[in-house]
Amino acid sequence: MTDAALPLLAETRVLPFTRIRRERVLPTRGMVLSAPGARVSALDVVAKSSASGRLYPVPLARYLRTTEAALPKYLVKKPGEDVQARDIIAAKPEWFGTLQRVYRAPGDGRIVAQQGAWLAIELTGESFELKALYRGSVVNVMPRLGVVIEATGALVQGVWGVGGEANGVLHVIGEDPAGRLTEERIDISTRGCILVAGEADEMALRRAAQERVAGLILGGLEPRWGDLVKTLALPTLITEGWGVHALAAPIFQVLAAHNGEEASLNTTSPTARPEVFIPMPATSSSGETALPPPPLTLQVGARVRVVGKTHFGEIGTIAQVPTAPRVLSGITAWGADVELSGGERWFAPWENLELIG
Amino acid sequence: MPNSKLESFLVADIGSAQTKVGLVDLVGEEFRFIGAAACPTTINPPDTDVLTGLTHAIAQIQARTGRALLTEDQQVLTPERPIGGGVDAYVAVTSAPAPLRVAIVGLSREVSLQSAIRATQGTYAIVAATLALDEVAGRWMRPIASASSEPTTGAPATAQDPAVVAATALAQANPEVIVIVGGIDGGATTALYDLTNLVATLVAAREESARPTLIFAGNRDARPHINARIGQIAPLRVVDNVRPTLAQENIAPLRHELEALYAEKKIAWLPGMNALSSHLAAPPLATARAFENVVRFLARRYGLGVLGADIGSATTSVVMARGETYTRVVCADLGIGRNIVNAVTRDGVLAPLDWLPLDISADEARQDWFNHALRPLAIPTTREEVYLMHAAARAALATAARQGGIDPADCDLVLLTGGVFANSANPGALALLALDALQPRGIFTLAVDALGLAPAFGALAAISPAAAAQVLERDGLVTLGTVIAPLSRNRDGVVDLRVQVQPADGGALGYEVPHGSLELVPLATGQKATIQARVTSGVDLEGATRGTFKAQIEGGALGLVLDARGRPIALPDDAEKRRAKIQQWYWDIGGEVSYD
Repeated sequence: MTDAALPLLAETRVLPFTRIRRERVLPTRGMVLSAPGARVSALDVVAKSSASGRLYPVPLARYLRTTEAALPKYLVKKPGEDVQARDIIAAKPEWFGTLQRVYRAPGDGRIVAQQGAWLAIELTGESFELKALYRGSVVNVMPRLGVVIEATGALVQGVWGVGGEANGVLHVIGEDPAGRLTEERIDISTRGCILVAGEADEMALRRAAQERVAGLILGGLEPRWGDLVKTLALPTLITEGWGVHALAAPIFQVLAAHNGEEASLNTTSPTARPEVFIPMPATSSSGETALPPPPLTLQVGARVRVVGKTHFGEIGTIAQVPTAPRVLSGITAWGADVELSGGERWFAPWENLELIG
Repeated sequence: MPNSKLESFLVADIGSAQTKVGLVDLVGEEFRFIGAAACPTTINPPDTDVLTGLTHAIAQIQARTGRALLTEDQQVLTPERPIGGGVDAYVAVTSAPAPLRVAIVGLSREVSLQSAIRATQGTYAIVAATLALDEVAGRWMRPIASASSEPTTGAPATAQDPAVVAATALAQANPEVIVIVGGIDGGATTALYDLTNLVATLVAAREESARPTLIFAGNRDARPHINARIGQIAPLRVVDNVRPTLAQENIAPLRHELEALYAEKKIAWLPGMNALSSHLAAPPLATARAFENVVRFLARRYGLGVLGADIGSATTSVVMARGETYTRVVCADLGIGRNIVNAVTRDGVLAPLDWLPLDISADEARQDWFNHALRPLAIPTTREEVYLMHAAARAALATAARQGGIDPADCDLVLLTGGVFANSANPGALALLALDALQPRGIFTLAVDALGLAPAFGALAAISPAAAAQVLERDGLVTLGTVIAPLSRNRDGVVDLRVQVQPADGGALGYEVPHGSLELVPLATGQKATIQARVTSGVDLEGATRGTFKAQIEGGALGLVLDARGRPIALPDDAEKRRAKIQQWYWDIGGEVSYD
């Protein structure tokens, strides 16, 4: 069987030393503050936008008790003009000019549209500051949108993430990949840290939010706490899946090797996998230069992780590729014989494997 | 356009999780299915090009069949070479893009909005927001004292104004399409214009490149005014009124427009689709539309009422067709892969765990389903996983059928397609899944799409109806069997049905089927038999004359299924009894999952 007969597998990248490029993009158009070639640290602001863009539509003609045809002549502020809270936007004389019926701006913002009887104000919100998150160099600027940063270091991808971005010192809980994060392990010394553990219970999650832990990297999380971490707005990345799982050995090795070092957590992309990045100099102490991630190739000997329920999370290598499908739990499946790290050989459907490395 | 000179085809189904490709060729005088392969759909990093997955799947077919299908630069080899290799044409369907986010604004929630929502449910669209003028308790049009008269300083307009609250919610929903409906043809227009002004304001407030597309499907007489108010601000499409009169609903034009928008705004923008389209013999179709073609084709060809159900990773669609009439519902947020959590948590239809013969805790089930949403392609490898997957499929199917108002009484053929039905070696479990979820009644045939490519054959029909029909009938559809499912008011244990089965090549068999049970009469594929079913008192069998039904049937993977569980199927309240009963049904129909 040739390579062409092999399927594409999902990939989890676990790279002890690599070079990556990441786009950093504003949610709404704004201003880019960095220039190409600039060196940036994780917390540097590379771009910002001034308005939140929240629209506030107002049935203005109704408020002024007038018609849509007559409304324009009562407008004190026109579309495109900035307004401050309580500025008069429209005024209509009443009682022979002795009184006027007015509509005042509900907040600072800009009048963005007026059609017929309606007017829309874009209320100014908190300005949004986009941080670099990845320590590295700006290699490209997208005007009004953001930048592309090139960075070197260690990269670990997760399977699920929530809570946004975080930057802090990696703090590995326990000596092994199954370390359990409990509330007792969290105190003032962990404030601002990214904690690494196999699993966490409810009290630990709540305590982590209280103590302003920067983020969590967990092997697994019970599904019932999924909504809790969303509510707590605690940046959290899961490396294996839902439930109680130890971190995969290659992932734990990379994270443990950088215990106590600065790391960034990114769970914001709707399409790309969530990831942890640990910045390192472009040349290692042994003189090795960081290179872009090499492609992972599915072949005999390739390292894989089991993502189906049987042997879930175990790491192994492709030992043999049978030339015919097999029937598993009532389904005909193509797959491979995998030699698991414990030495057991087991047939896995392709769908239940992913490349890791 | 159909072309009779085309003799070989690649058909592709680009799903949200998986891309499947099949090879069809003329063998002798007949089109046959030659082989298939699947790969993960490649639209997200690190591979953001649908062609990567497609090409890989085609390469697998090439390797397995030994037939050259790709050129050296990985292009599909067309047309078919005289010395072998290549194909004459290539077609594709897709459900990979995210659904359209649609907002619906109208005058009456119970009338025009409901019609527009029904039209939306027939397409790959999610209703992100609705705004009904009559829902703000009539205050919309009434002047309110929220502006102040100076020199007295009154409070500024408050966000509690229902019109502002509703309009703000509409703005925050950030829809890609806004549908404006309302008014019967020739009716009043003033309120509609006010509504249009609101939409125009919200749309004008956005950057031109980010403005939603607008569709007007309301009072025909209002079109010129609506166009004058809004046509300059954003692209406006006008279709026939969804409610031309109070008594009449006309949702097809709006549905077609949404379907066209899905093709333009979503399918066309899939990464790599532009390059793919240039090689296709026909524009790529939305999967649900192609599946509808298959169901309608079967309904017309055989003069049957056909109920088709397609359960995908992210989408479940159900089509009911008889003659030229049909109904289609597309639940773009229900599936058994990426959207499995929605399928099992959507309230009200059936509690998925209640239909399992196993004592599985809710936490354990939730963990399994959540993990499946993370890795939707993973194949169940334990008995529990298979049951949990079937439980999710039941829930998705039941919810979709109910949402679409599908009446399962009106079908002669139930056709099932989707990942859970393809390549399965357990027809009994599949049949039970479908019977539980859809609860069809009467006398009908159950069939599954064993290749999982029925929608793609629907696209093939556009260029070669003969190829699509022959491959579907010869290779694609596997008959599970005939089902007799009466309505009954009897208590459990009381005989509902007495059935005589006379196989063409054997002795007669007699069955008495008590209420609450299932009975399977094995009849092999192709084996013919004459059956006579008589119902007892308190039992109603659609299609029976004076309580008796006589017909000649053909067997299938299962045979004849006598489903005397009544409709709706009642489950015991006690969990242990319920599990025992369901386990019995699995045994009765031969659907027990034995692998572990």
